Amino acid sequence: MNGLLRISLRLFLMHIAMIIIIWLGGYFHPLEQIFAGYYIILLAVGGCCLTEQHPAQAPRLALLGGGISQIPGLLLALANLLSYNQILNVSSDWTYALLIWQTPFVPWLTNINYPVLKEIQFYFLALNFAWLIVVGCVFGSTITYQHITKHRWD
Amino acid sequence: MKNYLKRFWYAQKLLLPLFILVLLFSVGIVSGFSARNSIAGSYLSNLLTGKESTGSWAGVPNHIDLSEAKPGDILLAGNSSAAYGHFTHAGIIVDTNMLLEGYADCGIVLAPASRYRNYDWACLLRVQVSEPQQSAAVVYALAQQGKTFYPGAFKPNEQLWNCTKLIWSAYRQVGVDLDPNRDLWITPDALYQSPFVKVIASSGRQP
Repeated sequence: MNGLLRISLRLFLMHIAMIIIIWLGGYFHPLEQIFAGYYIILLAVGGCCLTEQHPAQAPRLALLGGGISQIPGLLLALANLLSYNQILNVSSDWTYALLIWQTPFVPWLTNINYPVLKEIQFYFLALNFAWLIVVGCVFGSTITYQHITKHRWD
Repeated sequence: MKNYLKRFWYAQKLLLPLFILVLLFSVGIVSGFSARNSIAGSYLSNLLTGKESTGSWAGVPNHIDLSEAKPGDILLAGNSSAAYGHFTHAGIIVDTNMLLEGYADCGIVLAPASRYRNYDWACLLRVQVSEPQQSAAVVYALAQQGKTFYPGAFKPNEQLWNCTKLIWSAYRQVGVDLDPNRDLWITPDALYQSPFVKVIASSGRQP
């Protein structure tokens, strides 16, 4: 439990720091793209360190910790998707808040031209599911690191 | 290898705050700490008083006359109780009935100009430049179609856009700076205050 809270808090604070860094880096383009890449590396390294500390529980901790740290993104995405489907009526402030939460992934979005197919805006979908990158990256690196170290040291 | 990874991971406690400080200082230095009436300050204080970013439309359309609109013109619109200022949205006319605008949930897109009637008030501006300059500004704006919207996009970055920055940047390319405040960001109100624009048509409450 202690380990889970620690990793969640760590990932949450790191995300907040990266929001500020990548936003400010945007003034000196392409620095924001470099920092966005740095964040992905950081998440992967975090997954490897987690595997070192808790070899058996690492994938579970990565999934839960990554998920808990991204609760704000998850809630904002949920509100925006419900609003998009006219189930909930939320103001544009919620979309702005989502964009700000997803700042570390916005530089990735700039490199893709999104199509709009039958009123489905892939830009909007990509924005709403960007938080999955954090969970996927930490979880993926724990699995990969476990796999590599098993083969090397077992 | 394991130790390097751990050291790198734990070094972030120091590195990330350091990056923030260095970047904050660098942005301050480069921009010259010179914004006269910074948008950020007034926007945040408005948000704290309970206003919404783009305000809320009362539901009664305005009657802006768009018959005089021509490519390169700027259409501003706004709702009451908005945190941005009087006008909350802006688009650049690219065709008789179409304009290019930036929206949070779809990036830089084309939209019908008549959509701007669904605001409490609207205003049509013409930038006082030659026709070739207006055409060049439209061409530049159209080249940004499909790009990413970001509310806090800084002026120098050509990857991240918002509705007003698109227009400012399009005219900046042809040698006209529409921002009288020289801030890090630009709002629709700044376009209205620019000495280079003339009001062609308006509807509803004006500043």
